[in-house]
This record gives sequence, C-alpha cells and structure tokens, in this order.
Amino acid sequence: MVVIVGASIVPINRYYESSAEDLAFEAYKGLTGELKDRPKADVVVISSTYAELSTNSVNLANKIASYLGHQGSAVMRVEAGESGGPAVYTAFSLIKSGIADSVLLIGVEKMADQHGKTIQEYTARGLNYKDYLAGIMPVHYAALMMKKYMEVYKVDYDYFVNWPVKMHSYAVENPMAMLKFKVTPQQVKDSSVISEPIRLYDTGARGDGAAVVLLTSEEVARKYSDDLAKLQSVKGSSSDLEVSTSAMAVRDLALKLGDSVRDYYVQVHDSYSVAAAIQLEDLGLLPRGRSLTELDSVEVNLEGGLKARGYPGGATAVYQLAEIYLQLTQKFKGRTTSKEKALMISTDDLMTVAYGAKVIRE
Amino acid sequence: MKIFPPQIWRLKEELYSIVFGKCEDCGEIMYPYRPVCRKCGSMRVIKVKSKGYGTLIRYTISYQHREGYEKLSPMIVGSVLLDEGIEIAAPISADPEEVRKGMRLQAALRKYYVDSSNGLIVYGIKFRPADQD
Repeated sequence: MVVIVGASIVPINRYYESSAEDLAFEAYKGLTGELKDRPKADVVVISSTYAELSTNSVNLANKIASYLGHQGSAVMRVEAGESGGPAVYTAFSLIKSGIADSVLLIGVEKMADQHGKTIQEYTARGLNYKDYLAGIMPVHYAALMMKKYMEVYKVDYDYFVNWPVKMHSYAVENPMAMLKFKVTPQQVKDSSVISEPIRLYDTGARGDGAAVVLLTSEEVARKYSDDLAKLQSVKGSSSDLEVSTSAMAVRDLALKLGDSVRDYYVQVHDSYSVAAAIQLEDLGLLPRGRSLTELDSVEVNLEGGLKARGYPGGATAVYQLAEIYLQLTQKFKGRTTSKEKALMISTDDLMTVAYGAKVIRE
Repeated sequence: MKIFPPQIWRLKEELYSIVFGKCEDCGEIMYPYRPVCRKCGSMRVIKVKSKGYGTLIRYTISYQHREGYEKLSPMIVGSVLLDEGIEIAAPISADPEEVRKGMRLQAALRKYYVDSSNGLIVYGIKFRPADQD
C-alpha cells in the first residue's frame, strides 16, 4: 500500500527573491513541521518541466535534494507532459513495487522571472518542431478546440464564462490561491483576447511555486504521521494532438481508472476553460456539451483550479496531490470536500498526456 | 530562439512540403509522418506528399506572439481540411479581414523566423487564399 503521510505547498505567486531551491525549501519546511520525525527519503523525485529554460540550470534534482539535506537519497527529475503527472506515477510505482519505502515528491517551477512572451516560447516547445518554428503556440490549438466545441454543441462564449467565474469564487476562500478575487461574467467577457475566442480569463494563471508530498509504504507511515491518506492507484495514457471536442488520452485514462468517478472529489487540469469541459465530459462526470452549465452538481477544483489557484507548470500535479491530501485529512483551509475519495487528473495543456491518481482517506 | 542549422536541414522535407504517413498494412493516415503505424504497429508506413490544396474549416486570430514573431501579429492559425481528406493545423498567410470559413487555400512557402544571432532564415509552409481557377 502507498500512503501519503504529509504534504505542504507554498502559495503560487511571483517570487523574485527566491530560487527554485528556496521555494522547495519553503514547502519542505512546511512538511517537516507537520511530521513526527524528520523525513528520510529513499528517493527524491523532482517534477519541473521548464527547469533548464527558466533557471538556466541542469541537474536540478541533486541540487534540490542537496539543498534539503538529503544526501544519500537516489535523486531524479521526471517530466513528460508539462504538469507533473509522470512524477506522481513514478513516486507511486517506486513504493508500490517495493523498491523504496519512502519517496519525497517535490514539484517546483519558476515561471515569473521571465516576460510572458518568453513563457509562451517555453510552452511552445511542447509542440512538434515544425509548429514551433512556425510560431504556433498551444493557445492556438486550444482556440481551435474551443471553436470546434462551440460548433459541435452549438454553445456561445457565455457557456465558457461559467468556468472562470466558478474557479475564482472558490479561490477567494483559498488562502494559498494566486488570484484571490471574484470575477463577474461581464469581467470575463471584457478581458483581453489572446487567441479568439480565448480570452485572458480562459487560461491558467502561471506563477512560481513549490509543493512537497511524502509518500511511504504502510510499514513506515505511522512513524511520520497519524493523518494518512492512501494513494490507491495511478494510471497514465498518451495520444497524438488533435483538434477535437474529446481527448483520446483522457478517455483512455478514464477506462484505465475503472469505476465511476461520480463518488470522487475531482481535480481537473484546466489549462483552458475548454480543457476543463473536455476532461469533465471524457471522465463521464458531466454530459457532453453541457458540463460547464452543470458545475453546481459536482465538486470540482474547490481550490480554484489552474485558473485562479494558479498554474506552476511541472509542479502542478504535486500541488494537486498535496491539496487532495490536505482535503481528505481535513487540513485544507478553504472550500472543503465532503467526500472521502478524490481523483486528480493531470494533463499537458492540450491533453495529449494524461495521468490520474485516486486517493482515499485512511 | 537559437536555430541549429542541422535541425532545419533535417526537417527540409516537412518544412517545404506537407508530408503525411500512410500505413500500407491497415491504411491508417498519420500527420505528421512517423515511421511506425499508431494503429497496427506496422513499419510499412510510406510518405505521401499532399498536393497542397485544402479548405479552411475554422481559424483563430491570435493577438499574442512569441519573441521573434512580432511581425506576424495578429497571427492566423487554422484547421485546414486537405483535399486528400486530412485535417491539419497550420498558419494562414492572409489578411484578417479577408479570412473566412470555407475559403479555398493553397500551400505556399513563407518566411517563418529569422535567428538574430546568426542571420539564419527559416522558411516553411503556410496556407494562403487559393488562386482562382
């Protein structure tokens, strides 16, 4: 059994005075303050998608492990798909297989040291090289997906406004959120156009951040904490990039995750409002073409989502896992779920890589 | 963005034409080309060159751009249904005022990017309004 024994996050923001190592330390300090014993990690797994680009640095895993005093641990950085799901998969697998008894999972990303145009440049590198050279960005594909969704389901822009309005209403209650303010439908509709029909409020709010989760085997879990959550399963899938109203990787992931997700508190990767709609529908949680008008019927992204809690690149999935742990152990200081089971969905911006993790309160 | 000349040279076929893959065993069509079929796993995937004509089925006009692409703003990116029946996303070289759904397009060689560090110019395919027959 894989157990989450503790987790800590720093608020996503612009940290001009802090390096990636400093942010990881802040999150780690929060974790150690919650545990009964100093964490010993057989493996330190780092999730950071843009480390080489945003910090002009390589070998980040060893640098952070060393900064946190974890000499002697096996160290690695894992990435595929921009948002950290593979690192969760790796950490889970290491313990589930018996290779490790404890894994310190750290998500960290520095997104705010550069101008927004530079960040667009980084994120575009996830596309195929020909698209990248042509100047195409992920938001262009997202805009085409949104237009197709509007055509297929005969909805207008007002339909998508529901998502940022809901996410911001949750973020107001989350002291760790980046954008702690409400927005009105009119403010969303009046926000600047990025790539029509996508407007500013349809996109995730990128920022710096770090989150830490300590996972252990059942045998050593209570050495660290009595507030435990079980990481029941982690699955993953991938696909080609398509302009579609559905994401093959997410559909395939839903099949691998098995039973209905209706009993779960769910976090989706809302890189764009249309991505939230597609994931909710591909998971079978809400009906196709109506998901964003039925948000009151489900518990989704109570922390505010990428839209308002913030979007720290490759650290995002570790934030999700940490928040879910805090939710299930009733430590989360914000809008809380009433459910005892949670599912996090982690994808890249355009949902070609998808991971899902199920967590249950112990 | 720093361009490495060998990378561009290797990509010349994809940059200067539209190449898709067709599996000779199961018929699966794949864009971009790759040597192994995603459906049946066959390695008998042949390269097929598009004739470069298609129809614009939807598009986005973008008001944000990356570093080095300032002159392209506002940039148009469209879903193009090639006459061979494949839908691809591609940059559209047209005036935002004239672009419309359903318009006929043809591939054209256009400038993509100039690397200011070494003066290297990258060219590639964009779609422009098709010539009238």
